[in-house]
Amino acid sequence: MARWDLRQRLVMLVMLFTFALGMLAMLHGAPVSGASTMYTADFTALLITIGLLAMIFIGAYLFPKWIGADPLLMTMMNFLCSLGVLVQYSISRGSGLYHALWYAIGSILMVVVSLAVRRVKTLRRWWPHLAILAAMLLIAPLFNTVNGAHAHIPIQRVTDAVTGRSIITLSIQPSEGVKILLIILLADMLSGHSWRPDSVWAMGFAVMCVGLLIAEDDLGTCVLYAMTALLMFFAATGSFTLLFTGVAGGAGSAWLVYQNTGKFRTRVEQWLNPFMRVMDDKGGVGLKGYQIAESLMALAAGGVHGLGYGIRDTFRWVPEYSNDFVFSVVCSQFGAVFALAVLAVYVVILFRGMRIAQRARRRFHALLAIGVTALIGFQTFVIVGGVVNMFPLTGVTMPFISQGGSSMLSCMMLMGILNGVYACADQDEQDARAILGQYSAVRSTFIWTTREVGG
Amino acid sequence: MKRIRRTAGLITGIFAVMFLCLGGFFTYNVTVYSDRWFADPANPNIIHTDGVIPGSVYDKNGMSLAKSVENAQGDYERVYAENPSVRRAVSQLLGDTEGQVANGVESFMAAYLLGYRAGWTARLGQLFSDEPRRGDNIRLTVDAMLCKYAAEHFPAGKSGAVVVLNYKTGEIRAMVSLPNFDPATDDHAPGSYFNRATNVLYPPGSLFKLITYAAALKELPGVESRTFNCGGRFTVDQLSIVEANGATHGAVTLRQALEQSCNITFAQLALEMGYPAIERQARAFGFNDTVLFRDLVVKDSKYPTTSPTRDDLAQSAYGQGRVETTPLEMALVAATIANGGTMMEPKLLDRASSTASGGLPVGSSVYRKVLDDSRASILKEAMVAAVQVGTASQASIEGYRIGGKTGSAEVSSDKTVPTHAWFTGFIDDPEHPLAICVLIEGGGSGAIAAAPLAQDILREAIRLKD
Repeated sequence: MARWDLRQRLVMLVMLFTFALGMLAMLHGAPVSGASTMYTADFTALLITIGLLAMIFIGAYLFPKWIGADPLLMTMMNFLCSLGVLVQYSISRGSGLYHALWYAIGSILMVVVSLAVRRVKTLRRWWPHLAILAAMLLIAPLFNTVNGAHAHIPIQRVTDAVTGRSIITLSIQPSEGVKILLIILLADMLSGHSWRPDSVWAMGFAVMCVGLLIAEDDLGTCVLYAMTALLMFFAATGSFTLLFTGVAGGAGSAWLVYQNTGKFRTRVEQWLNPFMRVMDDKGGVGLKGYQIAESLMALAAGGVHGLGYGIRDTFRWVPEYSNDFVFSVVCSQFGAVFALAVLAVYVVILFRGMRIAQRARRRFHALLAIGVTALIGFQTFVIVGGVVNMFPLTGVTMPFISQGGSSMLSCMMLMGILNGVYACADQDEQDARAILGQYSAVRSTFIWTTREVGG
Repeated sequence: MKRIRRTAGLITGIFAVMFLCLGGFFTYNVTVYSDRWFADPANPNIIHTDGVIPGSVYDKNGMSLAKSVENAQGDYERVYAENPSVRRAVSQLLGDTEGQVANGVESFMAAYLLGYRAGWTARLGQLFSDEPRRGDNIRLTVDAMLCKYAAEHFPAGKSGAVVVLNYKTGEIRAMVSLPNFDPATDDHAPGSYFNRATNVLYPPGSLFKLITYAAALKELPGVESRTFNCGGRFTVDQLSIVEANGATHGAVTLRQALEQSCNITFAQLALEMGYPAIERQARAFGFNDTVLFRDLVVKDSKYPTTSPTRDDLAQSAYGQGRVETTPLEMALVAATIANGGTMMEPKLLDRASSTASGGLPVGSSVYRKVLDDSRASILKEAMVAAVQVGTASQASIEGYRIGGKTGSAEVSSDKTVPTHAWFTGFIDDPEHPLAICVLIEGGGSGAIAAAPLAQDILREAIRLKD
């Protein structure tokens, strides 16, 4: 019963927070230009809030019953998504509505994925097909340049009336989808009991993905893939030699990239001296790392307790504020203490994910859970560390909060995998209990033996 | 399975460490640097203040130095002090909102002035009100009249700086840099946007002997009872040291060497102690160190020890060669000695609040304990003696115990180029615990040019009851 109480309190807290924020969003009026919107109640915000509260409730009480989802994981995830929707809504009505839409679609996908996990025993037959699919998805965007990288496939273009250049308004980032393929394939390939040729396939596949991402010039995602793959290899083999070789290799290639590419070198210089004055193209004086500098300024404006939800004057200067830099928006609106709390929520998700991996009864499932958790963990770490200038910025999205359909959908599918693994482990455990009855000593002995045998 | 369970536990640990580092880095940087990030003159939040009425800036006695006034068009514009001399005297201290002056109050304390530090109750009120947001008013620790006096009595046509601070609390009473500008008419001379008190580095000259003295007291026990011989000329390797005005001091004790500002004695001391000992003492006073004060930005003073030569070491003992510092730093050295070896954090902000006079004063804080009590009192007595019988005699004020040290820093090997005139000192009086530093660029001798000015300013400060 105690656990139930805790869950109830946590859910109440998250719902209260969402409700309060939603009411503020409603009273504050939709952020349109002009200052006279203060008193117009915004019913879109009310509808969104009701939707979010419903999602939190369903996630915490109904999904565990229907699909065996983990209530703690669901509550934490729904907290981040609600925060994401409302923060995006404070940035602009449109981006908030989009985020809510992707959140809804993502939730459906999550259910589908989590039900699929228990059906899949192995994908061995499909390895070549899936690998080729992944390669094609990563090759496709090489022929287009969006934001200086070749990581997106443009869907919709408009021609700018003033400059006559075409601007891409909608695009897909296939690497978001390939993430999932990477984790599933690696988990399956590495789920053999010993060091077998499968591992060589796994290695080849991981190297291929990372290589194609280097070609795409999408450094952030590349780092993410490499670190996730490395941790999955480490989890499967338990070899520290592998881990340290991997880390050393990573550091070595970072050094090579630093020596040989201008882009990354600029990033490093910006990281070291974001506030340094440099001459810009027009002969004026600009900041060397103006992206980082302005992110830090927005962060500083928020201070300890933040400027308040919906205050937009500080972050409108931050580049990509609804996307990569959304963490500095959170800091400027809610303050440093709340931002730390948000990080703590990510950490809870990570710990829970690893716990699920430890509870899993099959190697495939355990590796799936580890891969998913590692990916989400690294992604959060890489973007938050970049935004607060702990290390050079590489553009990846912040899970659940950053705007963007591809990112939201892939994160929700990853959570679907985690929930599916949790459900399977629960199911297996229940089966074991049903067979052996209620004698706890016997039961634990059985579980212990089956684990030994199974592993 | 067992292996995976174990590695999963390890990976949990890896993530725990990673996120602890991230959280720690984030917390540390936000607490230590966020004011500086926000105060960067390039911050668009300072440049584009539409929708906010910036708060007013008052001096210690409530004189308005800057306020926002509604004009005929209904816009708000910045109006500065009425008296043009006051406007000019505090121009660099106050700074501007256009980013011409680095780290003036108007930009460095913009977080207060633009209301980013207001409490959440005030903020909630603003959320539901149609009124434009109002920033906090701030009251500074400076006395504008003292600033005005210092600026007006500075030698005409010369550049330089004056810093007066309370050594018990660290409150800055005056910070003046010449030449200055008039923010109301934007009448400015070349270089008048620099705050020479904090943002320009100068060779400290003989003022640095205070630090060499302090190092010697620590490193060479019994150094006080020794006598040194000054023959008027002393050759190190290539360098030949001579005294100012060709003087010969003969056999002197360390205290007499400070009184008479004997270069040769201190050069000998430095050669005896070596770089590390002096560097340790200089670092304790804030050289070679990134000083992070909450209320103002100061350029870091330097005591370089790279590629050391004996010539360079000997010169560094009396603040020549590559040693560089700011007038504020030298004022802090005198303040530390006067305050029994404890350096207080220099402070500009007295209080900030949404009302004109309310708010609680910001407390003083100790920046660092630099010297122990006995060394501080020896140095203090030596400085008092320098005013009573030594080179700094022109700084004495009847009825008060004044301590001081003069300096004439060479800026060129060409002897016809006039030296920078320095004076740093203090009033040893519990009623008026003030320390001062005066720098006159190309002012000639510190004893003749800087000490009398310091005397005038301190006398005025006593009259103003600062």
